[in-house]
Amino acid sequence: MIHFVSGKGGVGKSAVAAALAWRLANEGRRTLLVELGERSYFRHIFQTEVGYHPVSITSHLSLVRWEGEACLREYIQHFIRIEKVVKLFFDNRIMRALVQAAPALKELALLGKITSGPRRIGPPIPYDDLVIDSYATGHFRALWRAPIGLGEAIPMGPMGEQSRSIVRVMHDPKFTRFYVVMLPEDLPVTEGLELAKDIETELEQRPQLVLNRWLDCPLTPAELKKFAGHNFADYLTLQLGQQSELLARIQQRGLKGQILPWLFAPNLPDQIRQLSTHWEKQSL
Amino acid sequence: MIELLKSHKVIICVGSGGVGKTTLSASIALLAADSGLRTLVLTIDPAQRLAQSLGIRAHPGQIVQVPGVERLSALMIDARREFDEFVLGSVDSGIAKGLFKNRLYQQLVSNLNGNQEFTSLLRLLNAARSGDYDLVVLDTPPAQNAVDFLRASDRLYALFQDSVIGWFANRGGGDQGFIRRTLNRGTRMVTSALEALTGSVFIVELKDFFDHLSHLQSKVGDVSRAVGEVLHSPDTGFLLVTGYDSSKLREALEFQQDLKAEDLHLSGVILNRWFPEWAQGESDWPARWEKDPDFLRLKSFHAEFTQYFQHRREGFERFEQQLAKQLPVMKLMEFQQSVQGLEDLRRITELLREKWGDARA
Repeated sequence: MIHFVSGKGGVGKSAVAAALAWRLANEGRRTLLVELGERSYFRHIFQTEVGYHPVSITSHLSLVRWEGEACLREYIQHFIRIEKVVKLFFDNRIMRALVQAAPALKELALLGKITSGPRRIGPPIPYDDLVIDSYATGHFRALWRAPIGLGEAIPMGPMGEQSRSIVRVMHDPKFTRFYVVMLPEDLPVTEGLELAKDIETELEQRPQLVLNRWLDCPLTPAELKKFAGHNFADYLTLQLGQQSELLARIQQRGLKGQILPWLFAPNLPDQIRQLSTHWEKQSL
Repeated sequence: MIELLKSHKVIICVGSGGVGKTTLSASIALLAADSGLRTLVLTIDPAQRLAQSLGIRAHPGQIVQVPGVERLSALMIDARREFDEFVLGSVDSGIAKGLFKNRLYQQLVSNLNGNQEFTSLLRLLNAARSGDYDLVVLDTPPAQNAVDFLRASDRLYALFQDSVIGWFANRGGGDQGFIRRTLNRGTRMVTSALEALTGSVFIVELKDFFDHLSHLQSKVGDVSRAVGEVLHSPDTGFLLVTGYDSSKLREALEFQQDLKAEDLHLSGVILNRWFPEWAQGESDWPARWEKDPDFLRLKSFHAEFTQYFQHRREGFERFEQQLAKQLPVMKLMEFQQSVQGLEDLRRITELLREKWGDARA
């Protein structure tokens, strides 16, 4: 199963993706947490260098960082098979510039790699689950629109065919799941719900919503009333009012989802572990 | 802060996603306009209600006078439209039409590497050159890493490198197909590998795409050079906006180094959404509450919450030590309700005005 985790920047996407991966691994599934792009976010958290080949974090959890060019290289290697030609291909100055510049090529290579398991292409990926710490909303759209766009633009030939087969996997709930992470704040919810709508329209999948950083207050709004006028009590009252308003807005959409609590753990590794124990405990 | 604004012609707000760049750009522009500067704020993807307050919501791609604020104009950049207009303004209409008809262009130009960055820099360049403004404030496109902004327009420019254009495009090349033009056996192998991988239809589209794009080459080169001059000018300052959590702070440090490596001027750091007001100092609790069991729960929750902010404060102190000593760093407290209207922006403006001076205290 491929799990894509996205949401507006700053909502805790990466922590939620890591918590999901942690959770799956603890259930005994062989899980690969995948970062995209040129810089690793998790290297400080798991204290390890993260590159194209998976590194083990626990017995069931591994971490990897994939970026477009390396994926493209592997893909080409798989087809050409002759190392010398592959080398020639990538050392070719023009080809390098093309790989950097051609529209959608890198996105296609990334998604090609991510979906290579179900499509039975390339080297096997020996994991039960891939959890993709995807880009924030705008870039995530660009990522999935690359194979859709190319598939439509190129009616014939291997490139068009590959694009369409990637799209088929992303459409299929047997292989792929989407998670939209939000915070109980206006903008992250607005942007998250827009993303959810685009996933429904363009990928024909119903994403799962994750409302992260929910304030679990030990006092109810009614109990807080006694302390009105104190700045901490007023803060909590306002926060609780706002988050229940936003929750109602999210519930109106009728999508499935869950709430994850605001955790006060002092560091990210602890937060991720704690978050994973709360996974799917409280539905929307 | 006002001094900083008066001594610059361009202020660029950078930072990774979700840190409040757009709101701060608008606040900074409002402060500049209130201080007597003719100001333009360029923004990419403002929240609907902020866009409405600025009066730009109904007019994407147009410079609009912000209602109720003298000297302040705003523009919401629409990357797709801007790029189309850039094409139309740069080449003759036949070539522009040919490019617009290309299927790769149609499907993918909105997602073209560096397109958003290129078009916002193009707008910045035009505004800075127009002489209509004393200050232009640029809100940069959302990016995973702040540094993407600096490199993105190079990535777009890579499209126009001689090698790529020359290889694919067929300007004045008569009937030579691009495969036949290849000279050595190595390149021929590479080419046939590419064709086998992608298919001839793709190659034809790609070739057509580069064919048309080649006409833009010199214009894009001119823009890139001019933009480079503006970015490096002593009149241009970068403001780094960052959040409080450890990964955001680490990114901010890396970005500080990236700016230095590119020889660009970092004018200050704004640490946004720092503490809520209640966590700024000690709390006083009235003695009459002491016996109430609900109060004890409230107080212990307060202690837990306070400790959480204390950890953040320590993380920030480590971050601050690694910043250049003379760099102004400002903490902006967290606003509980989302910032949407001009009155909200004015509250931030007041903080910027008052607190910038003692930022490093």
